[in-house]
Amino acid sequence: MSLAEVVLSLEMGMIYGIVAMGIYFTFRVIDFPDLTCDGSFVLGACVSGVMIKAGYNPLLSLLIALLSGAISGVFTGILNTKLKITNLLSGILMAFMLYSINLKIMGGSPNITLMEDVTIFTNLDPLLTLGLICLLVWCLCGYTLSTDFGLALRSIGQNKRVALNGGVNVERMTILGLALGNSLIAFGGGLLSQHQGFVDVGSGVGTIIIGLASLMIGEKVFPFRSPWWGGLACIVGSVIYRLFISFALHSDTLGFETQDLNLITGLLVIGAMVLPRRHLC
Amino acid sequence: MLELKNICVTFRSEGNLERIILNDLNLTINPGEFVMLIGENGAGKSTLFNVVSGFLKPNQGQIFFNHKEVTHTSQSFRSKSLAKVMQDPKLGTMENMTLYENMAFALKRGEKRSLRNISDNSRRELFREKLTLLRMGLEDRLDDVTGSLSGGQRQALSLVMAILSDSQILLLDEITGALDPKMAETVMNLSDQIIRQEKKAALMITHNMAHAIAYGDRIVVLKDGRIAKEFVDLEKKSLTPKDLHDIASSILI
Amino acid sequence: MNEMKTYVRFSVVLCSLLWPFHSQAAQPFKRVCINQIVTHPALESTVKGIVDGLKREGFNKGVNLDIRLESAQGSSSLAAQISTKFVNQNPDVVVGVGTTSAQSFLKFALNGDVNLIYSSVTDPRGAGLVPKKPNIHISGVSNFVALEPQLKLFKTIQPQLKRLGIIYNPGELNSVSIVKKMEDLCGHYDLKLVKQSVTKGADVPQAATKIAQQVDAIFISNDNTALSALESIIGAAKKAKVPVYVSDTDAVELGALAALGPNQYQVGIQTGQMIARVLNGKDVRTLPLEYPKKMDLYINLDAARSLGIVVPDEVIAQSQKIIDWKKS
Repeated sequence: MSLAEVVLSLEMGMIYGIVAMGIYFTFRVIDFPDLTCDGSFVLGACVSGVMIKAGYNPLLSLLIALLSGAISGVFTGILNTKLKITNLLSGILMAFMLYSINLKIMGGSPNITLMEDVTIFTNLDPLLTLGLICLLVWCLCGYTLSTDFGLALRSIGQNKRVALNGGVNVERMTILGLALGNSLIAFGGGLLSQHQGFVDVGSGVGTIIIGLASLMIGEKVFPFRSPWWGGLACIVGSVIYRLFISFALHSDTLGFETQDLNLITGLLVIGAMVLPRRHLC
Repeated sequence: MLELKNICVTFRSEGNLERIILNDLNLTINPGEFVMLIGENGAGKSTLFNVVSGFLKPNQGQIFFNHKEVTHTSQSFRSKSLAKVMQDPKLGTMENMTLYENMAFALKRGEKRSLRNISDNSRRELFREKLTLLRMGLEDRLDDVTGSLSGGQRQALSLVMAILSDSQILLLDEITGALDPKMAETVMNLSDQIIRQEKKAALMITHNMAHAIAYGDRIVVLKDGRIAKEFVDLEKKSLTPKDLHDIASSILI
Repeated sequence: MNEMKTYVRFSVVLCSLLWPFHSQAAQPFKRVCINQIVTHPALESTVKGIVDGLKREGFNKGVNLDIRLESAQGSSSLAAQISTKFVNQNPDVVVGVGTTSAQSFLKFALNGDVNLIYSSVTDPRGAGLVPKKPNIHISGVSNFVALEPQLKLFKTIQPQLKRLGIIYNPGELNSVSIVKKMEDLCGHYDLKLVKQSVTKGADVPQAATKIAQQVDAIFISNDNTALSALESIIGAAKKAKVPVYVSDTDAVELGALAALGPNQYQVGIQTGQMIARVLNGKDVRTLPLEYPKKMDLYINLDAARSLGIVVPDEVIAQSQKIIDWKKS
């Protein structure tokens, strides 16, 4: 593996690490198996891409992408809390409908290039920029979850009866949790599209798998309770996952073929999972 | 102050059979009053608690907290004035959070939860102070995960969590069920003390007849969905546990 | 002891992450790296064409040419990782087969780090692969098939053709461009274009059954999703007694009635020849975007018979290949 490949794994690892943090918010903090991510990831990419093509400031486009993700999370929450649709189905439905919405945002075209437009990475070193952004996101998330408000969010994922007894409005908090999670996922989508130079409406497929694998690998490395460790687990797990893929891409020298890539990556992930568990600190 | 007026709760089961759980129930508890609720299994005690806390809405009747009607308000609204300790210690505390985190959560019951960091020295002092009252050594375990506590310790923790906030109404559901006799005595004494000092209106479900007689101001017997008999003052103190047990099971209305 | 074990495990993992460095060996050969967006019969033909096209120009694998191939399995993030891996192997030319694969090489081509040639991209302009700035090292072969000759062919075979159905995935840039152009054209030819969109291969059978009832003929361009379930489209069309026209000549054997299009293999050969020009020293920036040189007409007479359609003699005369199992 060359240095450039390691650097790319770090960069993509950080971008998907932010996505994994969004999934951490929904799957872990509020214990809601949210499948909106495949749709909200692309939503962020589309919004950001369209704004960049229209000449807007790339940073602004990312913030609007974040907002759009939050809105999609709110809708999933409404489907679940107000219309009483099960959590899994709410996420699936939302992701499904977002596909059409995303195409509409892109003006009917499923793919747009950003190569000749100004992105957040045009004048800045991507590794450093992403590092800073990741750090910022990690600090914001860690701090938020360590506040009274964050404790209320976490209580929903821990024990709904205790949450109710503690005066927490479970429905409102669920919607908020979904909004926060999906805003991060959409933000990640926007970052990825600017990083790779194009927006593709099909690039969201499998986001949940990548996110969960990253989260679980990270939790194996840092099996600690505190949300600060949780956020770090997301980023580190995501980087490790990308490194695994990068490594697996070189397996052709071992005699494997390109079709075996998924098999190799899967085996590496299993290997990480069966590493003996360190004792909880 | 807690007032229940003409409360009726019915359940319609499959086959369209209507079962009356609470039947025109009336109860008033004044600030500083500690009322013991006893009754056989299935008499409607838990249902009564659920109605007061807002988990269940009554078919008929009204509920008042400090003279304000709360019959159709939500659980979260009522949590400003009401704290509940549940029978199952596992349901009353969050087992993957530390004692500190559980207590910090309970401290803000019914209040707006801000973006203020939960780690705070003054809070830690407060929690230590409250836990010391239990005399179980829990004050040294603030950063331990709640799941590492025994059932009885978690039960006691639930009680402390309930008295952390300023709620004027306290519902206690068999809080000594998992405790050994010595601990049970400590917890009952503590409850008595807090209720009197802070003028809370408290209602406690118990199957422990000795406790019902020794503690609290009033015994209320629930039978067939209504208050069948009450015992106060001398009459209460002169009962023996066996007497009380017989009365509870054999009352004819 | 346990700590030792952990350290050993860690070092093994660390070392194994670094050992593939040895693939950076010195190269006496010319190196061509191909990033294919997905494995798919049409794209496989293209890649085979590239290899054979290079061979025709004197570049033989193992003799004076090192060819590497990876499939991105439809994932753009995987395409990005593959592209980075390839660029760091100091290739002479990188090839992106499919829109997303080509786009994943773009940022390297922008800096002049690499020579990028794309293949099998239907709408290179729409995909941003035909840059406005002159300094970008990119060119390629599009597989865009002129639509007008195809429409003329359909009308010649079926003079009473009024409604033409098209099955496509709006998530594929190729198809979106084609559908737009088709709609305009159909207006001139007094035809109504009936659009049927599908999001994935599994949706195709139902979509095909539905649209077969509403049209006089079905047209499938090089939409990857529709092509992946082509047999089900042909089956549904057969039941409704409606012919299927395609742009991919290889599909005529499967039961499509006719195809007027470039052979994907031929597109590959053309690409291979373009690559060879760069390997021989030509600056890729001077090579203009190419379209398929050759268009083939394939007819399936068996299909015609079962549909009760009589293919005019002049069409048969112009065809490059007739499929007629009855005769053979």
